[in-house]
Amino acid sequence: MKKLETICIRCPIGCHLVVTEQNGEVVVTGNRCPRGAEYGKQEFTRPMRTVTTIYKMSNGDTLSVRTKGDIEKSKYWDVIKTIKSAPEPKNPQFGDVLVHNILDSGVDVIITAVNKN
Amino acid sequence: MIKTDVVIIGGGPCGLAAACGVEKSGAKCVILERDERLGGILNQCIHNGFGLHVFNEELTGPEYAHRWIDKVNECKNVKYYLNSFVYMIECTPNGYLVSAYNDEDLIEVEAKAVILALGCREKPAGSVQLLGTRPSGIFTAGCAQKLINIEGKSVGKRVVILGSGDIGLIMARRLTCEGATVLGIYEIMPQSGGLARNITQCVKDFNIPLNLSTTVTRVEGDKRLTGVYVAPVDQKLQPVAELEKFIPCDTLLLSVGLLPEIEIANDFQLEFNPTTNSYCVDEYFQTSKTGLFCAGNVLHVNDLVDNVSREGQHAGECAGLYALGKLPTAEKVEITFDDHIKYTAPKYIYKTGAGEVQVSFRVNKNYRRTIIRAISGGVEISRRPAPVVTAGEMQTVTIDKSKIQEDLHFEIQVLE
Ligand SMILES: Cc1cc2nc3c(=O)[nH]c(=O)nc-3n(C[C@H](O)[C@H](O)[C@H](O)COP(=O)(O)OP(=O)(O)OC[C@H]3O[C@@H](n4cnc5c(N)ncnc54)[C@H](O)[C@@H]3O)c2cc1C
Ligand code: SF4
Repeated sequence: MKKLETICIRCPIGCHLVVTEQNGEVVVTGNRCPRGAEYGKQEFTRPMRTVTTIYKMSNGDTLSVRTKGDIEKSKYWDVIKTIKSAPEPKNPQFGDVLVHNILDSGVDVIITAVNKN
Repeated sequence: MIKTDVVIIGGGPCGLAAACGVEKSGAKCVILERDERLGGILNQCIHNGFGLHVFNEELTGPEYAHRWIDKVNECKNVKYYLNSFVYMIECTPNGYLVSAYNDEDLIEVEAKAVILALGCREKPAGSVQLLGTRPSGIFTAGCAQKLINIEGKSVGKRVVILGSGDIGLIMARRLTCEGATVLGIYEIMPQSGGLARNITQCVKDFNIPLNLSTTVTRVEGDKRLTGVYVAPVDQKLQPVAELEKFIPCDTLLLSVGLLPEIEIANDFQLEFNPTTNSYCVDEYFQTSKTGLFCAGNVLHVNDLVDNVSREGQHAGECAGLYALGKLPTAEKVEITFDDHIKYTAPKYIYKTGAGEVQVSFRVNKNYRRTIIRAISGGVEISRRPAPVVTAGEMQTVTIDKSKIQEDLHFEIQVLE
């Protein structure tokens, strides 16, 4: 029987999950809410993460950015590299998209803060 | 001089929610914030994980702040002043007078109630015993967070982190993503003080070594740090000298805890709790002085910003009602607890009869298979099985006030 003990990262409560596969069905225990069951199944089959980082503008300002949804954990570094080398936006604003459909994941990278320096 | 009902000192998540609470109560308020923008420490916390409980969405720090700033902007009776550093609170016949420097000018606000929402600051390098020189390259984790995330600077290439609080764990991931190598995190205690989720997604995901029961003993370097010595500690937390080893590195980050910013109210000699390094409050988040309220990280270090907002909002509503002369009082009940629990906030509850009250607390270490119980008048009035309770997580229990008799006791039954 395949078994995974992990911690739900969907919220800071951090429930301790036990994920097992029984007769072809993935079963999650230890979650306090349905998001944990979903996360446990995902982590068992195809781990996903949200990526957050900063983008440096040539004038010294920084943009805080995040992927609007989760991307495959295995693509984490490629996503970071793609964000860092994205073309510089003109007059970036809170909520703007910095990179559309990053690495064909279907997920956009959005600006979560503009810091003037 | 500005006159209002409530003055809120600090415009972080606690102060913003408090302002919304005051608005809800029907009173007026003024926020005084020393920074050039609202949002507090959230502005530098660019990672996600904020707001799941309040907004049912996983936001980054700045986005979470943005939501609350929007709410505050919709309030009719809230005014805020930026770049306003509060340096004094005094009593007047009408309540309180709060003074702040605003650039060159002075702002004075008189109000019936004050809410302390000043957050906390990091324990500096001087608070840990490190032998050796004082080269550059030693930063507190929050300071490094600001330099990297807001100012876009780099702090170093080969990094050692002392302490495993959440900010340290989060910075381990940030530094790695910015191209630095995190050689290891060293924690003197046998468990991390950070959230379990941060150990998974910031440390394990990046194969960063987390060394428990180990500490940094000495630093070396002339102008710039060239390395640190680390050693495991014995049961008395004393480093074992024979096992000390040298780790070459150019940067040391300290994530050794936070201290509530309480000095501003020192003169009032409020009832103090040495465990939280802050004041004791009742269920209205009122300190031992009537009309002086305290919530958020200045009250106790919160790991969940959602809790800070909840506390702030409640404190705001209560302070507003106080200013309007509508805050009910009754006989006080002091909350007691067994020795698994370090403290509770609030410390006092009023026997006003109806409604609910939320009590937050922290445990002294990690336990498995537990039952969290609340007992009043010898009767169990709340019971929640908790498979895991950790020192890093704040626990919150909701109590039905109609069930409270002459006392209220919390205990943790450990089954394993
Ligand atoms: C360095 C650091 C990093 C953190 N990182 C994280 C994290 O990554 N994730 C997480 O969940 N939590 C983090 N926290 C915890 C986080 O601070 C709390 O969850 C939350 O922000 C607390 O809200 P608050 O409003 O009580 O305090 P704060 O956000 O600290 O806000 C307090 C406000 O008061 C203002 N202020 C202080 N003194 C004065 C004065 N004399 N006059 C006027 N204004 C004043 C400050 O400028 C600030 O805006 C961090 C804390 C610190 C200190
Ligand atoms: S299971 Fe639900 S409550 Fe538990 S950590 Fe995950 S999201 Fe949070």
